[in-house]
Amino acid sequence: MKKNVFGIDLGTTNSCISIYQNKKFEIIEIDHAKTVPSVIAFCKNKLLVGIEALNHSKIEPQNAISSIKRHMGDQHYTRLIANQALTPTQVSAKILAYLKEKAQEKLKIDVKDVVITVPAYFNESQRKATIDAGELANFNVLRIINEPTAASLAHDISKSSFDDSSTQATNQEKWLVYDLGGGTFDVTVLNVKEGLKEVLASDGNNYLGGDDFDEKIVSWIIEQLQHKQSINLPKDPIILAKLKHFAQDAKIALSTETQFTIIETLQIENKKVDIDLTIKRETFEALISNYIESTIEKVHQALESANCQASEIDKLLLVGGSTKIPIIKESLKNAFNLEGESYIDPDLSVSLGACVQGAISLSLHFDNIIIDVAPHSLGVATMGQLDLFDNEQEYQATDDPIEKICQRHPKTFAPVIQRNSRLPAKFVETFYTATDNQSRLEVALYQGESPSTKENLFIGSFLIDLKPVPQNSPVDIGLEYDLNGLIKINVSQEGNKGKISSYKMNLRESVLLNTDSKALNHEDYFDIDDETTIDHEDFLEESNQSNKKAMNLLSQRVIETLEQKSNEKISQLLEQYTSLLENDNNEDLLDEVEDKLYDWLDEQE
Amino acid sequence: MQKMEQKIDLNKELILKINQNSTNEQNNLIDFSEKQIVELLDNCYKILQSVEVNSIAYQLINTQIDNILNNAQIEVIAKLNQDYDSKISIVIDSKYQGDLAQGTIISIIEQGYIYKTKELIKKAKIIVSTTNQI
Repeated sequence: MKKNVFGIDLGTTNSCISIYQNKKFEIIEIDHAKTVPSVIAFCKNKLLVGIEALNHSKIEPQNAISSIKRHMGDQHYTRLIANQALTPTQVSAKILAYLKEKAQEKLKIDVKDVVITVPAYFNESQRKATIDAGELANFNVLRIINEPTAASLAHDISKSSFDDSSTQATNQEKWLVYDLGGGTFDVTVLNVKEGLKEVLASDGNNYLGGDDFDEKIVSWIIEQLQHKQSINLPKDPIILAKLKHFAQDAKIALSTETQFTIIETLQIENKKVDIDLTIKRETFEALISNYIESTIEKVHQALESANCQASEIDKLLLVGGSTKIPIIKESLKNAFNLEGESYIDPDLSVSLGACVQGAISLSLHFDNIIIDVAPHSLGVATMGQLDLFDNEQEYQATDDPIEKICQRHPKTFAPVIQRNSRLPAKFVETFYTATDNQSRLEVALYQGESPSTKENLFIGSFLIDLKPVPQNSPVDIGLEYDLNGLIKINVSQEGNKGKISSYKMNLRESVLLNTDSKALNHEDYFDIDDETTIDHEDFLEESNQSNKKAMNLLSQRVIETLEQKSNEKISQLLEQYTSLLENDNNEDLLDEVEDKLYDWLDEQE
Repeated sequence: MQKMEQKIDLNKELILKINQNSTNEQNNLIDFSEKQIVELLDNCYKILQSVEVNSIAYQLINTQIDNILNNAQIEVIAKLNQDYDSKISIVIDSKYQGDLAQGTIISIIEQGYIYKTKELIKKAKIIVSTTNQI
């Protein structure tokens, strides 16, 4: 039976579905358009989705929901509509179900296996909510993938249709994906070698896009009409709507022309008023310069996170409709000396890339493999600075010395696995006991970037027994985090009869449990392994070995191939490679070894 | 014999290529004409907005628009004071208009066009009435 796979870009403003069929990737048109507004509405209790919902939202905004993606993963957020409280997941599910229904209607086939995209900065809770939405819409969600990564996959395919040259980097390359859409901005640094794509770092702004540029032009028009033609526009929705329309026309025209003239007749208080305004490209560029600068700043941050110089970037991919504006290309050229490329409609590339990933997941298309990184830091709560209660009575009475200390110290977030760490990752950090003869330790896991745990996402918590030791005695906490969101926690105390406590948990499941139950019961979150007796030194040694063996998909491919065809030289090379992965200061040698491994894999295939 | 077969294959390929090219050219020409007609119609509607409804200029332009539409087998999507077609229109905004039924077109920002065969050329951008008094 022929297998079909689908890719969905579940966007803030618009969504898009594509199909992999007969070795081709195609966008599925719905309601006469390649993208569907990410809006739902109820009209006389009838559910509307897409363009109909967007239209209805202009008439009865109270009965419509848009931009729900901004609230994904927020379990406390609901919207009351048509007498029902809908969560962001449920709203997204309705949008996804609509895409499914329309695609099935059009293609007359079952639309089931899908890859859905998410912004690179989404945390686990938001990713989990996206998967849930897909499942609620009766999709089989093969996996979710970062939007800029999807765009880079689409780039490979689209470029091959423009020229006959090989699209894949034969040497190790670094790509920068700059994605500026209608309402969001993302930047990602990728490591690319042939079909292998590895996310090195990503950054972005959830509230920046082309819609902000339109608003700037509208304000400019109002100001110009006041100053040049002494026209004070009333706050009439018809007039404002027309201005928005002119602004969009001007923005699009100024991408190819140096100036744009608005000649229109407006009906203002029963009088026809002719407006004649010319906006030059320089004016438009000045209006949006602050926005563009802020994106350039984000690019700098992403490069810094990826530990990479702009001069090391081999390719700059432009994604999102707003990147058609020439000043963006010029600013990137000025700031980083990079020429932007886009071979595909920037609005569609994310969905097509998701589809490519789907084909890879189902082994229908083998040319690309993606290595991912931790989207946010993962770590534990530790004692912070002294709290601010002056009055002792404000603390809850307790005889427990640990509880007493916990109350007086806010929790500080100590990352163990840093953001953008290559997955799977395994790291160990040493912490110190807070009191003399401390007999218990609470290990509370959080995900985020804030030094305060309050601002990060709580994952789960558990208590372990300690052997009473003096204050400031070391306790090692090791975290392992794999591509499927599985976390393993190892806690070891020096001298505690060589015992370590080992726990396993599924990050996404625990996020759900947490937000649903609120109560903390560590047995619900963790599969508790039998306490194994390992010497503390052995534990550290094992952890170090594991760090050295930090696996990526290249290693996996090599191991799998070696299993079928052993090769002593390659085994040694692989060993060298895995140890180099942990050695940040020898990138050149790492690249060289990686090249050799790729070459060998090529020969075998 | 083999050479002959190769030659025939080459000729077949060439004919296919020529046919393909001419189809592409035809399609490009159709797209270009469609674009030109739409631009012309849009400009005519823009002029109509600035002239008095009862003027001769208005009537002349209106007649011209009707002729173009008929000849090209095209229909306009948005009509004032009528309900809007939600699938082929874009509601830019709404305005409270007293007793007017919700969803009635009260202003056409940009006309939309559809072939009589129901093939969409361009969606209409409109403003409609609402019963919301906000």
